[in-house]
Amino acid sequence: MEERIKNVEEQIEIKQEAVIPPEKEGRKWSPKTIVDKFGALFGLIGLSIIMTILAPTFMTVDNLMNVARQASINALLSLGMLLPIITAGIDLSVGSILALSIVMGGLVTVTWGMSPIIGLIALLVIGALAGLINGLLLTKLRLPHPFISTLGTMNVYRGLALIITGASPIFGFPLLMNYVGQESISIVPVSFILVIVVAIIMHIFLNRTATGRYIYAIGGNKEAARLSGIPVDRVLIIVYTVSGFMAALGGLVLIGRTNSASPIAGLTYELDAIAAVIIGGASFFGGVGTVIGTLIGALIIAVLRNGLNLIGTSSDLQTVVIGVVIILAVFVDVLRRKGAKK
Amino acid sequence: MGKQVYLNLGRTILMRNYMKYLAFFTVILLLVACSEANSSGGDNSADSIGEENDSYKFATVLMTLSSEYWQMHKAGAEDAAKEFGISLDVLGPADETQFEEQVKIVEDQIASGADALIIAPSLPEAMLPILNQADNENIPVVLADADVEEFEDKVTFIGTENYDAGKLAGEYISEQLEDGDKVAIIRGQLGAKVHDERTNGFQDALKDKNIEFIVQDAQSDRVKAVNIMENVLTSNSDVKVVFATSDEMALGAYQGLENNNRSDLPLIGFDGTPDGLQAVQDGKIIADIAQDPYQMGYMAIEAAYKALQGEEVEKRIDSGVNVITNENVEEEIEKINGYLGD
Repeated sequence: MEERIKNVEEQIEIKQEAVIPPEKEGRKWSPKTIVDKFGALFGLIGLSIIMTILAPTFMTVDNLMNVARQASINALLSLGMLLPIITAGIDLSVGSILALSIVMGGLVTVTWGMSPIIGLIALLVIGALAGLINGLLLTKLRLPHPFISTLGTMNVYRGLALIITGASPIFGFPLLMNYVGQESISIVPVSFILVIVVAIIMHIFLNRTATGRYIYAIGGNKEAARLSGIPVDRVLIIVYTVSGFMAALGGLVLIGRTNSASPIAGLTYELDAIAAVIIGGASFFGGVGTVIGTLIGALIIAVLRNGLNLIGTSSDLQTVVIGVVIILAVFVDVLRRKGAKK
Repeated sequence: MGKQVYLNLGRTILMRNYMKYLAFFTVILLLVACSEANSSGGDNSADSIGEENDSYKFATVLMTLSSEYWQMHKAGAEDAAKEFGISLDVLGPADETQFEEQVKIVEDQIASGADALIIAPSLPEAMLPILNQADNENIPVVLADADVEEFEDKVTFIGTENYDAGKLAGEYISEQLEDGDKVAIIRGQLGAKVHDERTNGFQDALKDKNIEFIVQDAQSDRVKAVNIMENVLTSNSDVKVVFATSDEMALGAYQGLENNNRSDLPLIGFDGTPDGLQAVQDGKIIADIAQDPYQMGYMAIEAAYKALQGEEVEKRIDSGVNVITNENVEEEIEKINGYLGD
């Protein structure tokens, strides 16, 4: 018995080693590793240079703060989405969770007139709870893929948001709930500061905690992870709960930005979040993906939209450009992987 | 040995290709953006009108550009811009539900130094914070089509009196209805004020007839309207009249009627889009409450221009509606073709 436990522990040890991000294997700063590690960053810089040339107002402090503000909601959703994607899963319900949590926040503070602190807690708890249900559906009902469970809850949560509000948006939030989305500290939007803080926490969570490493391990090979004693179900439940919580945080920003909670808020936001994660270098096959990459992915999308708006490009064409960027980003990734294998 | 050489060679080629793709993409993006920035005239949805050294640069931000209704608004705005010698960008999100995207477009237009803003907000209250910012920067704001009542510093609100227009529809059909008849109303997004007003006006016009109203939300979507119409016919086969609060939904409703061989039911549309008018001409719709988006677009530019010149502008301008039946439909179609033609 003791031997068996030891054996399992050893396996965990091995798994953890395999899972530790490559940066620990020695820092070689050859041009190739730089391109590998910072490909998305180069993309972002290149894009910014192009936009600066095309739209003189792009590289102004005001506008850069606009970009930061505009990237915030998607960045928060993307950081949440990163976890399911690392586990080779997906969370299609984040847009709906965002809507459900903000209308609950609105119900508590505006309709029932309770304190904004309770509203804030309600909003975040609902988000986490909705995510928890996603996780439970996946692990306890043994639904074959999170695509299915979250596709289902995407509709359920959206419907609930519409029912709760009678499909009308809620207006007139108290100052505290509007603060994050609306205010700036000096010139930096509070929402962007929130993004940075959350990103740092998420980075530490993924790289410095056992649960974080388990998340990568599950994405690398779920069965192997299970066999090596990783509590796969528990980790997956955490993953989807965090994703739901992050969607609610995004919702909090949206409340301030639009001064309202609409049950149709966040339609198709899950797609932008997935796009940011993938542009940031994560893989649908799991096991790969970083916080910094995801953040850059979200910024690339925001810079594209903002820059094309400044130039006066129609939103139809913007959609095309973002689609092309997604395909190119993944394609480059495929090439890189092929190169690395050989 | 030889194999190793080939592998290395392969890797080098892949890396080169990778850079090539990056370069290729950058060039494409540059070209696309340049052609956008330089385009003038033609069918693109965001052309700059007028000479480069025009004194004023206006931005018209619509709910979306992807419908004939908004294309007519755009045509009116562009004609006015030409007449007053204003450089104008007409922009809008890909879909009317993307109200947060619309806020971003307005933010970006403020950053890029627009002299005046003409906005048709899809979720009016969500626009309030950014409108206040525009006001702080002394940019005159004209609201078109949908009002933001809380925003008191607007130049004016130009739009259809939707309640009156809905009432007109009710009065038109009133004599064909008897006491206690059933009437189906297929409306846009519950909670959207425009559709609330049209629905209320219609219902109020038929107040003394004891009508049983079956109100369903098709979210301004043609396909959803087909399904809803079919469902209504299944559950209430004795429905006497159908009122759709937009032409898109009226056309969907007609499809639903036809699928059930009930195309004899009187159907009233709202908007006066080319498709809607065509349906009147074909006898599919007995009456269409035609708004005048061209006039709205034109008047909005005119009002913003006057405000900048320091002239007095009325706080509420009604752009008017017409009841279009098979008697006057040809005239109306000719008028609209004239608008969209140039």
